[in-house]
Amino acid sequence: MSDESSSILATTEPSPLLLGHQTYTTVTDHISDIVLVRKTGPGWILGFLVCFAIVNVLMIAVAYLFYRGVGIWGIDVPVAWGFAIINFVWWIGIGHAGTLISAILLLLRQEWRTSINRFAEAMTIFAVMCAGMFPLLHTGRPWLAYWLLPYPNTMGIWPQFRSPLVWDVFAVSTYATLSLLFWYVGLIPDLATIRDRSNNKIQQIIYGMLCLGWRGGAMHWQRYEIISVILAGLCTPLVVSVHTVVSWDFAVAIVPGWHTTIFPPYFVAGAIYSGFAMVLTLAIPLRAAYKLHNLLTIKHLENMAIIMLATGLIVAYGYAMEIFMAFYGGNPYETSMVLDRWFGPYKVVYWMLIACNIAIPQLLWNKRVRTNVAALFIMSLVVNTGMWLERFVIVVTGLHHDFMPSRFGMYYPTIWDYAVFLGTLGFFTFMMFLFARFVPMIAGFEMRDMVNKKLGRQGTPTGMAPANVSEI
Amino acid sequence: MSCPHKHVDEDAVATAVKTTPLVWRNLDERAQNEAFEKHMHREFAPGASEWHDPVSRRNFLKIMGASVALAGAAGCIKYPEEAIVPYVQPPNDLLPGRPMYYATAMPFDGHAWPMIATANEGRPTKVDGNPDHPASLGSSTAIGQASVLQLYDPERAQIVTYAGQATDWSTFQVEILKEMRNFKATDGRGLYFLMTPSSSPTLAKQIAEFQKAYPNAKWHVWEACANHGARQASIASFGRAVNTVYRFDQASRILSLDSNFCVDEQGSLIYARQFVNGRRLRRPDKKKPVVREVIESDWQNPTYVESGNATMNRMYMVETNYTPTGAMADHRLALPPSQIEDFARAVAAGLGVAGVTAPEAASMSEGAGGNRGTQFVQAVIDDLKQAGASALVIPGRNQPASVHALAHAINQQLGAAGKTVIYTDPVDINPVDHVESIRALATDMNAGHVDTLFIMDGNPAYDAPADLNFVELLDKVRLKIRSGLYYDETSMYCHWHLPASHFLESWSDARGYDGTVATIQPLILPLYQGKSAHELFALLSGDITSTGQELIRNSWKDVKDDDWETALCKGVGLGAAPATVDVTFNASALNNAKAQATAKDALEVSLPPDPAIWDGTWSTNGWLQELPRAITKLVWDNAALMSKATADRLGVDSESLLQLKYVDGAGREQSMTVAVWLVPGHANDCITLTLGYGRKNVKAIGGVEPMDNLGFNAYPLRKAGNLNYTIVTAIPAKGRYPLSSTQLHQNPEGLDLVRFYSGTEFASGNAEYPEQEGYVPGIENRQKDVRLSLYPEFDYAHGHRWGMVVDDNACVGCNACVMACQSENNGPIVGKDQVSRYREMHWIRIDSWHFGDESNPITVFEPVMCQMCEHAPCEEVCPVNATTHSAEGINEMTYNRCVGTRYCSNNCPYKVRRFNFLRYNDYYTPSLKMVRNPLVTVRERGVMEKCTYCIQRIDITRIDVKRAEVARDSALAQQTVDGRTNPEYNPDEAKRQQNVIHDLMMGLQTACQQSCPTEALVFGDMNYRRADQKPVRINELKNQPQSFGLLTEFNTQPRTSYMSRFRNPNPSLESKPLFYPIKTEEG
Repeated sequence: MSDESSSILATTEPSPLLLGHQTYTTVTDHISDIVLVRKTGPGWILGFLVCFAIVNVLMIAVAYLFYRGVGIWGIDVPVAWGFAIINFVWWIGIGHAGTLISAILLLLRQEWRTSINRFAEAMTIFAVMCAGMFPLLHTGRPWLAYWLLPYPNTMGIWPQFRSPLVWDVFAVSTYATLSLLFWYVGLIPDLATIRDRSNNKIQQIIYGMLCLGWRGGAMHWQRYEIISVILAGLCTPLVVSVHTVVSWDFAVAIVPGWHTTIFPPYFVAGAIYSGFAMVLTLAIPLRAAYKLHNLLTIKHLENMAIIMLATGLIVAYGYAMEIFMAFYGGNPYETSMVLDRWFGPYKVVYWMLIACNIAIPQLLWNKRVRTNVAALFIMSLVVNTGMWLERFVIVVTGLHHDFMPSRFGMYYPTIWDYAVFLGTLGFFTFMMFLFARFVPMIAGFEMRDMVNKKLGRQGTPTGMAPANVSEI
Repeated sequence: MSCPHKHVDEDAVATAVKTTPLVWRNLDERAQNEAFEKHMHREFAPGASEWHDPVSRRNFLKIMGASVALAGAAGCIKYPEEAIVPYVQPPNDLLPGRPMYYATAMPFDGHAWPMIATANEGRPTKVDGNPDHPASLGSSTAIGQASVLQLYDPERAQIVTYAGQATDWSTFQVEILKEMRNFKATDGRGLYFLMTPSSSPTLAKQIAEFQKAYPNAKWHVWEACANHGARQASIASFGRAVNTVYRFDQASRILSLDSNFCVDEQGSLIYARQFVNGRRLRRPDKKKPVVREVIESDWQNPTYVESGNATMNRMYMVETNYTPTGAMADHRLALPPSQIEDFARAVAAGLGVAGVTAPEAASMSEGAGGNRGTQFVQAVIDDLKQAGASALVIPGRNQPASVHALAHAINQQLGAAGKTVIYTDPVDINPVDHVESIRALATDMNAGHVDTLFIMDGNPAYDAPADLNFVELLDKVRLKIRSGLYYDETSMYCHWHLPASHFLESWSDARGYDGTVATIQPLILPLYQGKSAHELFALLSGDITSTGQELIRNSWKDVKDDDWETALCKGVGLGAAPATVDVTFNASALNNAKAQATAKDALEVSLPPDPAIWDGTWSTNGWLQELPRAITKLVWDNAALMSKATADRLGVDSESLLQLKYVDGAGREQSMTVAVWLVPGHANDCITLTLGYGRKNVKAIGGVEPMDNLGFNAYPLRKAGNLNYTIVTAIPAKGRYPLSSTQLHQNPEGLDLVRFYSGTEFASGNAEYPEQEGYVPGIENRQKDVRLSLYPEFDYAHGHRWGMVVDDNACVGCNACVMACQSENNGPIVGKDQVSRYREMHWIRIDSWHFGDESNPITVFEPVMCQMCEHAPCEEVCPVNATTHSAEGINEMTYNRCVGTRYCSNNCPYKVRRFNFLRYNDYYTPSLKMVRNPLVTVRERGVMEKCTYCIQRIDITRIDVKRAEVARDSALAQQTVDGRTNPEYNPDEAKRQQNVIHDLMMGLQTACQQSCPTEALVFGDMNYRRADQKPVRINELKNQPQSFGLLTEFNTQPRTSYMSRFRNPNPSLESKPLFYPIKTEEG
């Protein structure tokens, strides 16, 4: 992890990415104490219980869904896709930030990723879990959804490889697998630290099993480095490919407002946009709750805000091109779709989306806003909302008003639509609570590496600070 | 109060129905009474049978083993208990898996619709028109199609009840024969019958005999929605009841005075066909010979007719509500009900009918329509005068006698009587004026003359004119006996309820609209204890042994056995149609009082029957309830239909509530609240509220809630003095009432989805029409403009290649196809709420498209079903190969493979796919299982479905054709034996097989096509070549220049193509004929 360029950053000026007087001990203490020493506060318990209650809402909603069928939702013909697909795309998009931070920024040697990559990756995993639920829940006969998988079977029939839904199966399952692997591999040294610092037999056993016998030997570190780079290399194209494939779900169809070649880049940008918004939404409360101000500095937050601003502009460009092509292309269905978005029954949603995704985030040009934690937090919520609305606009406005006016219809979400969506939000937060409590949420060994650079002890190979030696 | 309805214990009836055992040893057991239980327990101690078989070790192990093995299975599926009836003696010619067809007929509205009923393993599952009978020619109506569901309606009355308590026929028999003996003494004084009109010759004979035996017995007839005006006018105009038959095939100019003759007249099936045949146009093409069509299926001697003309008829419509026939009209004037008579009077006066003076012009102001009425009248007068004897004026069934009389006068004046209008003896066996009849009965009831009243069918407690107070009068009758299919409102007030048998369960006969006799034979033994009217009359006459079959056969005993068999087989052939009668018109009939003038703030409420549930008789029929009514597309409800201008004036909108104040039967001021629905083209300052809704205590099949909450009962508004309309004061009320409509958006938004041209310009070949992107007429024949695709084109050169043509010019929006499809393809009923969520399940929908002025639109109906795209967008996106393309060009749906991602529906530009969002099919009601077509999968929830071109019918034909081809080829192969000519070779065999193939191919019809009265849907094999090389009909139609496709710019290459609508506007009303799509500059 160490090379010339990054060491210059660490040594020539006090790093804005690591504040206060930090040693290996302080860093390690800070991170591992959250898991081992810190008392489980009433705040955590309360939040955890609330989330658990919402998870139960999800369970009830899903049980009723399986019992009655997807008709409990507001979907219909023409709008045969509703919240399930909107949520799927939204959650998948959120996952992207985690992968981008851990893979692409790793390859690009961006130091500032260190403090946020662990929980950003965790966020990815949980987001993909939430996303992965929806295609299954969404099918009319979920007990047969495995027919989308290509497996040799007695029916002698394969999936239909021309369908983007089959591509989705590959894209999302690959993505979920690699994200999980990458996250877990990155966790191993820190799990070993927890194992070593724990005085509790049960913890020692559990973390001992989870860290796969990590001893921090040079061979371990070398292999760890290799696998990290390989996984990062594998994950990098996924950042682009997954949402590209997801966007094909729409772009391949002939529905006006879906059938657009700009969808892949604009979906990827949108995914990163919403992903960074979600990282901010999580980072800011975590930072406050666990007093991580020194490890997760204002510089981190500002960098993420800049990425949001950049990707937000790409998304805005996507919108603009869509509108331009609708009029320039002269396709009456596209034109009518755009006018319907502007002035039709869903115009409130559309203009809210423009406000949330394009208008309000322009405040980020201002450094005072970028460095104001409260403003950033609100901004991140605004962008998350905006990106969800974007998916709503894409899915619903294209379908409700397509080709034959005789079959124009409306989509009215039901309480069960909301229950499932709320339920996944609860599930996601529930998992984040568990994660924050039981897993080191900042990569300890990478932080120690930064301390190493900050202290100016050049020459020590990165990561050679033994993980099982907690104090130096 | 002696009225038994106070004591009706509905639960007891329901329990009795449910617990009556199917197998019983004696009547006590059947009734499951205590005496039987005691008797059983005296003989065997309770539980005695369990001692009989001590458990041996071996048995114990066997049972335990089986129990353990089955324990898992039992948790999964609970099989309903049911009794099975095996085929002890299968019918002759039965081939298991193959349906059998029987000719029968459905009595309706005093005449009969001849039918061919389909039976699968003894269950009637489908009815279609009888092609051999002149009153059907193979087509059917929506109500006729839905009648098969009525047979299996679980709400049907199943047992004889007395005062609501279960009893049986033998008890009734004892009681009634005792009564009849008493009546014998007085020759039947005090014995009254109230019947619905019937056309059964056998019933006529039975009644005549009965009247001989009981000369003082009285007969009354009432049917709420019969054509009362026609009956009254014919008696007034001609001095006798006559049946008026219209010949639209002879008519070049038609004036309809509020007659929805394409849909709801007795002869509508034929009228619609003749009317549309007069409008089919073919464009003279210099390169191609004029298209001729085969009318006979003998391939060796085909007889051709010119099916396309260069001229077309012209129809004028004057009506209140916007009906499908109105949409077919070339010119249409919307008038409030009271002004239609003024219009008729003005036309009659203009044509010089003696004794008629034209009303003031102001009375035809068409509400706010200005002077259009006057101009319209003049144009009609001129055109009719010019047409002379080939003109036809038809008054509507909802019009008063005065309008009917005026129509008779105009037809006489024009010389049309005898040419386009024919008078015959009445079809009805008891042709009296119903209004007078029920009024007389009411008078007698009030006077206490009625001792015993038989109410056979009908539902007078619900639908008698409000001012007769029929329900209260029933209290004055000592004994009320009621026979009917349902335990309905009237049954509640009667002592006895006798279940009637359904027409598919009974023997009978009836006459079609033109008087031709149709035989009615049962396809199934009565499901419950129903008896037909014939059997009931036999019982009253003391004949308790004759079966229905014997009664009918005896009434036709002059007919020889062979002829009888033939008549049964064909459904026609008994007795000739009644001869035409000569009539003299009595001008005094025209001196009826003029229609009521309306007060300033009052509204006229027109009260026609509902297009689907009719007078309310069909309100339990879920198929009909869910049938989107033409134009409004409303389902499960009626509503106060009105024009936008009227709604604006009243300050209401669709779905808002309106309070109607009216005077009830007893002269008291009453009010009712109705929901509003706006209809384009409705007359101003009046409301249309259809009859048949607001029934109490009935539940529709597939309906989620009882009917009490659906629709508004219009009968309280209907008085004997004027059944046509009534005057109310309307005030907006608070609140809203949700209505479900299947097509909320009826504006084509300028898209090229539907086309109409001026017929005369088209036929002359002078007009130019916009080319359609991606579509060349006849493209399915694989030439020219096949556009680029990533995938190679499939070679359809061999085998079948199915295709369809939908003729918008012929579609009259009657909905028969929608019902036929639902019946054929086991379409589920989803209910009002699901329809409001855009989830109706009809595979075929009839889009209504309106053009032009909202108050006087041009409307085109366009049936849309799966278009069977060659490049189907749905197929490409299905992840599991559940929807795929067949080698015969059909876009197939494999229900078993569908996982329900619904991507196909999103990607279908025509939105013709339907998804089972919930479990819509009723798996558990036993009787409803019997109505299903065994050849079609009953779809479970989570599965996509859509039109299949009736693939099950195609499959049967394909197999039969293949078999005949093999037989033909093997016959041909016998020409030579070992290289030498075979002396025993029979050339006729090969020809015979070829004829079989031809008949099969020509006989193959989809359900929608089969039902269509106007042949608007044509299906066929585009690869099929006749032996004489003449093209088959489908290819002819596809090559017509007016052929176009839907959304072909997406390169979907739909297999179903459309033909544009033609209009024949009168130049004096429309100098420059409108057409659509309007050609643009760039276009």
